[in-house]
Amino acid sequence: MTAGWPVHGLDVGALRESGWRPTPFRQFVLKVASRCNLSCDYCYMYHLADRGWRSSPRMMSAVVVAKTADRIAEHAARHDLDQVSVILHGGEPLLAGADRLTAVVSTVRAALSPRTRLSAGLQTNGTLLDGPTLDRLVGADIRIAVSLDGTADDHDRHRRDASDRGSHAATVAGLRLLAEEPYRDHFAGLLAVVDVTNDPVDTYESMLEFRPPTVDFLLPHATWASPPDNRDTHPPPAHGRWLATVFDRWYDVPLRETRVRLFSEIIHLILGGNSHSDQVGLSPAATIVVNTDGAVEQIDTLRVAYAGASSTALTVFANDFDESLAHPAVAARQIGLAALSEECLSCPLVRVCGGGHYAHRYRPDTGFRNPSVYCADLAYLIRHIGERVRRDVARLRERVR
Amino acid sequence: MTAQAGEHETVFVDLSGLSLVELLGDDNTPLAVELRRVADLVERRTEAVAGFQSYVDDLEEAGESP
Repeated sequence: MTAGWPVHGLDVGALRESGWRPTPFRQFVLKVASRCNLSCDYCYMYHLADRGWRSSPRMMSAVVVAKTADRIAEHAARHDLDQVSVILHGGEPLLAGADRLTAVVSTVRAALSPRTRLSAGLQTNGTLLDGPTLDRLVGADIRIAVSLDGTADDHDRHRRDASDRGSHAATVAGLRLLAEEPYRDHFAGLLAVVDVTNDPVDTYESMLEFRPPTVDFLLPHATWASPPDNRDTHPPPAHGRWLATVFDRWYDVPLRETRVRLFSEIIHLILGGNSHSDQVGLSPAATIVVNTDGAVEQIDTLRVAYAGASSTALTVFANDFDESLAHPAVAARQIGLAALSEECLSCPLVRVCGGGHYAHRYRPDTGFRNPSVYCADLAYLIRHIGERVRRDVARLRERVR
Repeated sequence: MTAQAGEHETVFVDLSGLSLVELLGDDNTPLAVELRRVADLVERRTEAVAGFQSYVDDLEEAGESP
């Protein structure tokens, strides 16, 4: 596999000369543990193109944490940021233990100037959540998001441990604690990967059981070189239809039960707002990843494309985060329409779709300047949501006449 | 259910002229929550709805209408 555009072909110097300026990073994803206690079959870390995790330290050391904290503080001060967020990620971050996780957050918090507020989050599979761990995490003001793929059968089909046992029971045990007092205020939400062979409404309703403040659905990571599973039996727009069915279930209620981030962002874009999601919209990406060894990486989901795709060859020891902002692959996710293919630019949905998730655009011959491998699915979903919102806004107009 | 792609298709929904806060009252449907979010952003004079407006501007500049 080759890198293609933007590593070859995007001239960041010329962009700057034309007046473009990068957007500072505001979200720092820290890979505090490189290993996981599950082996989910769709995982971009362990089951797709990149095997980089094999050579990474198992845990982020105190030395890497301290240097990363300094770099974050330096970046926040240089760009006068009043808020930054740190997401503790992995692998499974809870393998690092509550002591190490709270130490990471307190180290970053101590490094920041009083002017910059830190919001801390954790993305976990939930299997290691227990009372003492939650006490420590909540005590450090860390908000917790859990990956849950729906019903027990849905979840266990993909999310299995090294002994090939399903993880639903363990995840739900942790989730039941998190979803109740005294921890509920720090329950950030649920994250599910779409499987079109599952019933969409059952999947959504099984998540509602935990009264999550937010639900997010992710399309399974795929590229033009490695298309989604089930394409032969579930051709496009199967994923779009699946999501549209969930949308209708979410939308057709008199009282909103939860926020579904993808739907909320699409509606907001359709109404003329900006997106805060990397799945849709044209807003500049302001996220950067630090690996357990201090290597600075782009979004780690790029590992789905080819080995080394997420690498920047920069580290927190030798480089400040402004150097990452000058990396072509980082700039490519900040230049909006200029990063998109001709096909995308001629599409009437482009300002809502934004080309879809960056990793899903990869094709070996042309790199990342392509429509998403989920193009037909995104178009189906956006038109479906657009049509429903248009009708309801028209009804509102009738009400005021 | 879904619109077909056309030469002048737009997926954007124009909210101009709607007094959203007054209109929505206590509604808490998913759409009402999103409309209120837009209304709040407009109130705070951020760039929300500028997306729609800039899209309209682009089309008008090109001699088209949304």
